Amino acid sequence: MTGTAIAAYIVLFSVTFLIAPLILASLLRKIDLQDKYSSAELFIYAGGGAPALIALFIYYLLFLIPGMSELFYPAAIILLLMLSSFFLRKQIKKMFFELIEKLKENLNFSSREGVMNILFAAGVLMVFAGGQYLVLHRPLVEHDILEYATQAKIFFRDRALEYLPLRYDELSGFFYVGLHGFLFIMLSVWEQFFNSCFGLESDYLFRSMTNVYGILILLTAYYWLRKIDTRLALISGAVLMLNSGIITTFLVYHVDMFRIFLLMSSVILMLKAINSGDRLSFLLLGIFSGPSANAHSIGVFAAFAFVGIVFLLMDGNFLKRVRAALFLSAIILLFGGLHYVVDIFNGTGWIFKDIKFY
Amino acid sequence: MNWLQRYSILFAIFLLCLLVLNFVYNLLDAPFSGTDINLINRGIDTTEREWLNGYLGLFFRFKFLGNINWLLLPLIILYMSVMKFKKWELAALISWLFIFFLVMSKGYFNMRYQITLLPLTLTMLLYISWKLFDFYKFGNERFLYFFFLVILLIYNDVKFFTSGTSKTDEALAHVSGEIKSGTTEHTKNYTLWMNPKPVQMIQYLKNIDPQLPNSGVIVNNLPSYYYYTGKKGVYYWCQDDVYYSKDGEQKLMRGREDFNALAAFIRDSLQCGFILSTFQFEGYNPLFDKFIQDKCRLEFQDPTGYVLYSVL
Repeated sequence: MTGTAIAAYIVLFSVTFLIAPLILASLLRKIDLQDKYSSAELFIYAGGGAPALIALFIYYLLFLIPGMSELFYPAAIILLLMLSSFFLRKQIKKMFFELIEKLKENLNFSSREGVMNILFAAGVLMVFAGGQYLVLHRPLVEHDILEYATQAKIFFRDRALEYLPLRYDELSGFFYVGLHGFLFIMLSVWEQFFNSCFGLESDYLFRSMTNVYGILILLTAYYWLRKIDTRLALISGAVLMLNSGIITTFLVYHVDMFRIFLLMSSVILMLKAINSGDRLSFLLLGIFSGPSANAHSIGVFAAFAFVGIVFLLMDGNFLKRVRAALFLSAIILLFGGLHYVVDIFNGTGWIFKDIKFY
Repeated sequence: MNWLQRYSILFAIFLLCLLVLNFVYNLLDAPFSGTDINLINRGIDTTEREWLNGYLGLFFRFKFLGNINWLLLPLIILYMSVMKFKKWELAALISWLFIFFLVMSKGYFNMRYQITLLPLTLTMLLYISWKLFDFYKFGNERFLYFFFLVILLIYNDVKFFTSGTSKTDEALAHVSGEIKSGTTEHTKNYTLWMNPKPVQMIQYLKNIDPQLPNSGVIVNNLPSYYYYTGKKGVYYWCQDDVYYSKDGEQKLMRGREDFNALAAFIRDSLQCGFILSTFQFEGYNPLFDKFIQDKCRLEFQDPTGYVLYSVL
């Protein structure tokens, strides 16, 4: 653990989990012409969505423009973020102050709700602090996370993503046993590209995925249950944090928090899409279901189910529902589902092969 | 509904919870059965446990998913019978059911697949409980129920997180009749929140001169070797007896039952003189375990449980 590595981690963390989400939330706010979403809600989705989109962008870059210099890939992302910030500067400023205002409004000791929000926020901060302590002190040791991290090193080394019938790396002898898409792995690749600009090697950001996405899950549950009663929302914080499954998942680095957040958000966005029928909700549903599918094979089947449920339950005539289902399918493919199409026809065959469990 | 009826209902719920938990804990804690370490390790070694930890794991795999999820089953039935579903509630239920049945049929053996629905399930459980309390006009008495849920969860955490040995070690001890030395040490040092990196082993492996003949390592499903040493290895998983090369998937032991021939193959064809494993992993394949005992020598042992053998 060196000071430089920690400084780089803080910068990268801020870019990935604060700046990029702020930009994405501002973009969504701009699209949300009917004001269907609050700033806080958009920021929660963007908090998890923006890093996933950065990973998706790297995935496409490595797939479509492989073999460029080490600097090209991080520079492309930083450039994209800078350009977006420039074009969205007014919305970003507005979103930022709206969020500050919301925080002030909701975190106060003058009302029962305010006190409960403060209690929840204090709990979340404690979980965050504990998680960050782990990030700084606990290395990657478990099998699955090391599979992801090692494959990420290979993508970083090759600066290319090639679809192969067998994901065997001849140079190292490593065999990637994973069945799912590479989105989560790309977050590690992003960190390695960023670190390579400063000649550093560390995996703090990759370790922090579990902590940050876990907190986003808590926030999502709290946000939604608060609409019914703040006391219930506060109880949800306690019930989730005392559940042995959630505790274990918080303590062991894995893809789980990442994929569960994406899936949970997709379910909520599907409900919103069915309820309100607005285009932004459909777009968001696709934007979250795609990465959810890419992150884990369960997400692929869930995405199929979402399309089917939307088709069955949304308002409108048959043609309108078909259009919505096709639109949704296209967005899901573009935002991560495409991996499986390529993998089936030009790669390992995905689930259509003899599957071994490690 | 008067206060006496409300408290009686709460009391009945608590009693039902205690009865169900007692029944399920008894089945879950029953002694191991059979000799398949994989099934034992996954907690699906008996028919009862296959159902509780496996197919219905989301509700009854208490160790990894908490002990209150099952309450959603009776509550959802009650909710459906007394309330009219809104369209979004129906959509939520259908998607939840779809994922549940998918995991139940295709991923029941893996706790990680079962955990997929955990936050949604708990959120639904709380939402439905609250709505039902509203429907039956409960006041603040409802908080007794939520407090009770929290107590149940704490009890479950204490029960499982304070148990001394790891599940794999217990399973190994059951199958082989002993806990090997080193494994006990590993268990002692092992904590979920501070699982240590095999620093000594990594250093030892890095120091192996790649110019030496047979300096290659067969790596028994330990990707940390690749991640931390950056050296080349032969990826192997003893449970399936499969190793990987540019020609694809190969069997290591099948067809090489003579251990001398197997050792020669490892040295001459794979150019490997070492096998990196853990005591825990060796237990997944008795033949591999025997080969290690007969034809290998312990070269180095890391306090975290990693072991390196040299092939004789």
